[in-house]
Amino acid sequence: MFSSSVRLCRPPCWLGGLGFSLVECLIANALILALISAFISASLDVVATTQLSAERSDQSLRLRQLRHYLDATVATARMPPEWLSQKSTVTAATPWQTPAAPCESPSAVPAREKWGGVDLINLDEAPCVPGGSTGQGLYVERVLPCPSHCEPGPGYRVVPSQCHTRQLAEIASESLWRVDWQPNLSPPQNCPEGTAWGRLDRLIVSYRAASHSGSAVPELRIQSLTQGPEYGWGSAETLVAGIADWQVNRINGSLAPSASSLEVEKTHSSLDESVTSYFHLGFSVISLDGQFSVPPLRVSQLLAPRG
Amino acid sequence: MIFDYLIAATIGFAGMLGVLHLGAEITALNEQTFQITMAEAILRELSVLSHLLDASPSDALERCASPAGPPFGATCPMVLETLSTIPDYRLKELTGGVLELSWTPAFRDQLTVRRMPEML
Repeated sequence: MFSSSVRLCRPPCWLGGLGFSLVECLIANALILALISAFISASLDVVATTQLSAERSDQSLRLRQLRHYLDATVATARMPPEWLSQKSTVTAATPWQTPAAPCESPSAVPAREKWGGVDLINLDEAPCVPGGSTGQGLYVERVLPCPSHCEPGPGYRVVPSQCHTRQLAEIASESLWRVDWQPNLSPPQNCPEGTAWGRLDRLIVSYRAASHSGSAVPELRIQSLTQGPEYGWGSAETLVAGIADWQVNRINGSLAPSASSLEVEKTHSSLDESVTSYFHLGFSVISLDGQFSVPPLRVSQLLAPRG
Repeated sequence: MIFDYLIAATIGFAGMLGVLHLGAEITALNEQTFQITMAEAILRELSVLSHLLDASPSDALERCASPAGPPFGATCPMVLETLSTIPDYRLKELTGGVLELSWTPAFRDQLTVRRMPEML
């Protein structure tokens, strides 16, 4: 060992034999080792900080994903304004209407003035929804104008009722729309060209706690209609993992000028068109990494119909 | 030999400094991602509040100072708490109802998030 160190520190010829002593080499090595240790320690701190910030960033990205999904979903939870007659458009900026019951096929529902809507449902009282979901679910009935915003394939089609007897101008003021199931969505026959039509879709956003799902993290789940001609709901899929403390309330009431007149309502009921109605969501985005866990990100989100 | 030693030490130090710098950049990037997401969330909630109140976003923010009842009771604490995580923020309402939230992260250029009024 010593002979090796002495050999390493032996001065080269061009230094004129000055060189370094063994003690000087040992001191230099010790200093270098100390510096390397300090750098490694600092690097470990940086790595830990980076992982924590990455986990925080992951939380915010899941939050962003959920927010955008909910906004995009409820934005289509009503008939497109251009489809509605002038009289109906006046009231279209008011609250979401209550959609048809989730266990009732839309093709079995009589023609309605408006389709679409958002509602809170009690999943315990919805036997047609499989998957063992319990508690409250956010039930959304969407209307997607075709062919611009809907995918081809089987589905429920929204068309003006009795359009075969009307001219285009009269259809524009027609106030009733019916829904039928189509093996391949296509424009309504016997209607003038340019007649508005669309796809009707339904989905349920529900919450499942970790204790129920058997997994390590709670999650938000989504259920859609099955693709077949027989009406039914498909199995639940994970929408966003790591969502805890999920709460959803429907709030009905007039906001201005005093907020004290507001009434929080959690039950299924029809809405008074003269009041403001919206939904309040509260949830926490938790860390998915047990090793580098960061505090939950508590979030509140209001879902209000477009003005 | 001494030059070999110095060169090796220099390369080692440079590599370690590079790793530290990279780590700091990743941390800053993640922090900015978090701040931008939360800024979007703040502007969205303020937009909804102002829409529900039929008031300007600044008025809605003022009413958040003393929240009472829904939707203020649940939303305002989140908005105010989230705003506190954004350093040196400036909230402005531009012409046309555009909401703008600007802030300056540490040792970085100013960041700005805008929200159009129709994006409710």
